[in-house]
Amino acid sequence: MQTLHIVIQEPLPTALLRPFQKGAQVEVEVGGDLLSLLTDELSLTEEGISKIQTIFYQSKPVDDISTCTVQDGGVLALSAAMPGLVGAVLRRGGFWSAMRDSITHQDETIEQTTTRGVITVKLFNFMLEEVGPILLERGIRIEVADLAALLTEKTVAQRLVKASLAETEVRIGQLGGLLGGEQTVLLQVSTLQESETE
Amino acid sequence: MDKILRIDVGAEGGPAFSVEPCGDYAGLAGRAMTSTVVHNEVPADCHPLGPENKVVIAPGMLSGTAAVTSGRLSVGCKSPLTGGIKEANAGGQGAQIQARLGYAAIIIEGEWNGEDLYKVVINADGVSIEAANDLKMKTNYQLMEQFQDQYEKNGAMLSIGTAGEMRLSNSTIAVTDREARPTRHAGRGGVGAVMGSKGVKVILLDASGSKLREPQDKAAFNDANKRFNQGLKEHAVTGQGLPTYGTNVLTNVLSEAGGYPTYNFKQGSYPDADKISGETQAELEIARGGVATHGCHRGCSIMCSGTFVDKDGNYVTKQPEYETVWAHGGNCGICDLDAIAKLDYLDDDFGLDTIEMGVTIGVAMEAGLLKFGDADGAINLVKEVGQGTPLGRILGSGAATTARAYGIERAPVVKGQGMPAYDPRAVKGIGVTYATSPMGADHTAGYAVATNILKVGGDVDPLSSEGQAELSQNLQIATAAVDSTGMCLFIAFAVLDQPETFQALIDLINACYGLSLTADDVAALGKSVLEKERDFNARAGFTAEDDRLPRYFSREKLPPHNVTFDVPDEELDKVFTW
Repeated sequence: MQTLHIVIQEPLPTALLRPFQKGAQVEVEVGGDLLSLLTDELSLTEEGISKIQTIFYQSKPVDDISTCTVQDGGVLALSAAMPGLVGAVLRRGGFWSAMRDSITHQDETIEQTTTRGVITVKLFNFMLEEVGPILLERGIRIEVADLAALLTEKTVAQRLVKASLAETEVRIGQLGGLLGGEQTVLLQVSTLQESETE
Repeated sequence: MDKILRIDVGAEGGPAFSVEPCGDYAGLAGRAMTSTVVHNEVPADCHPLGPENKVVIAPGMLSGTAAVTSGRLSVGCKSPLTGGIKEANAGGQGAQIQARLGYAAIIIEGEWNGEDLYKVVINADGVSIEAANDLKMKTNYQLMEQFQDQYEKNGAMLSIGTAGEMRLSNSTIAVTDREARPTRHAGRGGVGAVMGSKGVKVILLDASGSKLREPQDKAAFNDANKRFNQGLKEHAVTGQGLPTYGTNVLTNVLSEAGGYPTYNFKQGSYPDADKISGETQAELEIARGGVATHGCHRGCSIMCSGTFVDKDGNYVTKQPEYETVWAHGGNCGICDLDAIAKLDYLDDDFGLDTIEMGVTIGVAMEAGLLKFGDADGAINLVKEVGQGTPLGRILGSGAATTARAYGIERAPVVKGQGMPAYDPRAVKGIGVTYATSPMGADHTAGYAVATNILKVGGDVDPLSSEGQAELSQNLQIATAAVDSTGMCLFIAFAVLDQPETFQALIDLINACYGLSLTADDVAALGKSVLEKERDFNARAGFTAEDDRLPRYFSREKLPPHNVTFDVPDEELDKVFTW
């Protein structure tokens, strides 16, 4: 899989965060617990994790992130605190969690035999801006067709400083030909402050 | 707020009014007022559209004061949709204006002559009622155009659209917002039809010359209000999540949880949720020059609403709420925010409850009347309802009636009222509330309001199977109490998590009325409201058999978790034993 690295002038356009709503594939250490993934792989601090009030693994609400094993192919979704009764019900470790006990993720004994794997990460609401830039900098796997649509969006094109494919600077218009028959590419996004571009 | 206005539409010589002291109703407000009046004065076995039924309109305890976010207006009656007691409440300017004019309740009663429509004007000088037959079959936005000059500065308009005038079981009473638009609705249960059955088309409220209600202890009130507002601002949901994304922030999360009813409750996850999510909606609104953070009435500090504009920046509707986006969106397989906004506008214009209308269209799709995902078809169906075509009148009678007309079982209703945007198989606790609420399936009947602080019904082990019924009981008691304060239910999040914010709310009420209520007193108020509502329904013929979900929710598994609703009937029957 080829790696496309793009540099964007801050602020990061929200269009680049949009794929996370549906889910973006990222390579991480799998086989360990979710807490380790958030701290070691995503470099989230304790305070950052505390903002993730609603977590789903395989579509199941997670209460204890230290007893949830992340496996290759897994789907993880992160959200801030949600409104409404059901928002409170879905909150991790909340008082009302019993109201959804039939879909709750059940605690597991963690084997901690880790290896590299790929998971899908979905980000909702404030987590888009909290976690999205971190994942974009690490790199997400994205379909070439989706990538093309994203890079031609006006808000992205206007802030694009440069793009490099396999460490060679390219123009966006060239990408179609350069990627040939590739279905998926690893997209890495870094940002520049305005002062750095002057 | 020390008087009650009674409008007798059947008085000799035409409608007449009287103003009387609150008497036995003194101290009551909001849902406590509406449910008590309906309980005491409406024969439970009457026809909802008959002369014995009454429409009761009551602001909350704190409405009309400087208390933030206190603008809910309760409307009560016997419901033509459920056949039981109904309290539907709305935001907008109505509660604040009615309270400032001093009316704890407006009660519309008597036998209509069946011909004339009436316009009621209420201001500081008094009340006038006049025939207004030129308003026949006017929509809510047409009424706005006609009367905006009279109420936009210091008033509000309460009105019924064409649906209420046709006395359809799905019909609302619209309440104008701070831009004078009819975007806020007492939506559930067909309250608009009951106002239509009294011949009252529009009520114009004007508070010019009146002042904010003065609390008994101004210093204590101001202090409590400051603490309460601070609590709302500091909480992640009321201070950040709701203002930024609105209630539609729930779409992605519910779909991910597998609890988002999709294609008429066939599955719990919608593949196109991201296209209609609150995140996408807010991004679109901002990009088009709309507004993503806006209050539905003056004095709201949460500001969960917004303004939806088209691609050219022209006003379409207020920011559609989560339940609306779900009902017309995922439930019908429609993933186009512009189409959903159009449907929201039409619902507001004709005076239709967006939840009931969306659920009904989902049933119509299930019946083969149109395909899931057919946005244009859905828009045409709502227009048929607003115009009162034969098909429109069936659809406007609600999801249960539509399912009967088309001979299908899968009508997601309880007591005849369509279920909101949370599948009870995935979140069983809310299924208990849907089943047992006196209001029919209602997501606001049992809210997460500090019941762990109130300890109503005793401490609950949330991990026990019995906990579902007790949790629902606690929630319903607390919700009935909050519905009586006039506070927006969205305060719940801050009150739930921050005991000091809950205390500030109690302090606000006490300072306003010179009382010394405790949390126990608030719980007792909630219980007494529910007891009256349950008693009314029992006299109307409801039994334990009515406190059930449709059987297919226990039989059909909901993907992706493949769960059914399996809370035993005995547990449901315990909800109201205390």
